Amino acid sequence: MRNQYLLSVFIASLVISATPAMAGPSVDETRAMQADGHISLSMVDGDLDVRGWDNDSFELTGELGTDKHKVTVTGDEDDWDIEIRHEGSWGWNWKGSSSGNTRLTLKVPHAARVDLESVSADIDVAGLDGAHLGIETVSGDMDLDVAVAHIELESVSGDAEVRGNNSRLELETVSGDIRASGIQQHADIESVSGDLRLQAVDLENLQAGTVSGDVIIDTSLANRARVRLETHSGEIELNLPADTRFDLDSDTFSGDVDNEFGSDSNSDISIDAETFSGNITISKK
Amino acid sequence: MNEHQLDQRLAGLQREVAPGRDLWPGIEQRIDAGAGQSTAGGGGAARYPRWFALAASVLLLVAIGRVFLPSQTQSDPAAAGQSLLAVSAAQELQALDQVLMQLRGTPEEWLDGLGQSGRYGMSAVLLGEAAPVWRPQLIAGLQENQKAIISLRTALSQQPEHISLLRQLANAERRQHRLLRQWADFNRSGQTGILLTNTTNDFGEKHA
Repeated sequence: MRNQYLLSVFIASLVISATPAMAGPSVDETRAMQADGHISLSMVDGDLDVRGWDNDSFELTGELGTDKHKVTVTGDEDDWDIEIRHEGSWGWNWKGSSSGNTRLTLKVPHAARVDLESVSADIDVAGLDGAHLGIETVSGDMDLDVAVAHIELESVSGDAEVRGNNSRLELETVSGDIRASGIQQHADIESVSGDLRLQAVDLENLQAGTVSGDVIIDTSLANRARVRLETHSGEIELNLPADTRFDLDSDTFSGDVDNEFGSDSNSDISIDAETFSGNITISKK
Repeated sequence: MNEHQLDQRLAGLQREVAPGRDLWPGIEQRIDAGAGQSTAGGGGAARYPRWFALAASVLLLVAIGRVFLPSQTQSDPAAAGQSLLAVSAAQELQALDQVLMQLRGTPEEWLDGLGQSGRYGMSAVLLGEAAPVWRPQLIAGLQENQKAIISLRTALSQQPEHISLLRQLANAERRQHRLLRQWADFNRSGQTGILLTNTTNDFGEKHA
């Protein structure tokens, strides 16, 4: 009797170990695509890696979280649209993620224009140097290592890290923390309560605003640069090269504006700094 | 006039203007004069029923009580100001909560009234199921920004021509509009989530 019991336990454990844990179907989609064409992808959760390559096509590979997940591809080689969704609403648990874990890799021509949307998927992008990269996420984290002309990021609570020589960065977050480095020319960053850290070079235009988050910016400024800093109750710290000359126009209700440089009204660089009760500090690097 | 020229003009304006004299006697005089005109017109008492006048009187007494009570009970003017701000903030946040609840509970047509940004075109299933994730975050952001709006308005009531405060208020209002639109977009897309999470509202209150 005891031997029979042990045998059944052994067989059951073999069956369980041979069964993949909620693994869904695999994905392998390839389509021809223009080198600078546009592609968009939306998904709920899981992990998405996007990589630029030299081929004139896109390739989507990986594994879907469950067999309820479906991939839809529409469009043509100028403009592709990929949607990954799971049918029904049975899979959402209290932690806010669907059962199973979708893991996908999307390879696109490196100069492609890319737009990504996710609810909670973590997104990792590398090797792109096209005209545009846009990401909208609710709570997913973003990691970008790209050299794109124009990056647009929008997040509710997802954190983001951006690296690479990117010309123009526009980002907006409610409570996510953002770190960006290598930005040139233009940066427009706004947060409600998230903390923002920006390292940039020769900015021509910089706008940073926060309600209660903290913002730290290390940058040099181009000739005729326009800088606008605004905080309600958060802290903004702008660190500039020691030889920078600028015309400062600052205003505060009950906060402080500390400027190590002094203001030079003959400079063609202008900085506007406004705070309600937060502090703005302009320091020498 | 371009934005830069506008900024230059704004910069040229006086930043802080304190009232040059006590304005209350003048306001009082105008109120009296207005009341006199109404009586002279002959329509004042006849237009409204007696209960309306009574209700208005009660509301006026409550309002006067709210304004003057803190100054009687607290000798510190700053503390009195804080009390007024707290009352105002609580009322505005309550109003915001009401708006958010209406936004959530009303039909899709109502949400469309706020305009479609088209920026959050995620499918209903995606956002509906993710509602427990984004709702608290977005509400926290809305409330945080609403507090900023309230304190800016309060400061402006003391310094109505403070250009910097006006600009900050305009930016905060714009930010609030964007957040509300985001909320509406998410909710419109996430009708499924609205139905699934109707046992407790986003403010921790039970409702049917």
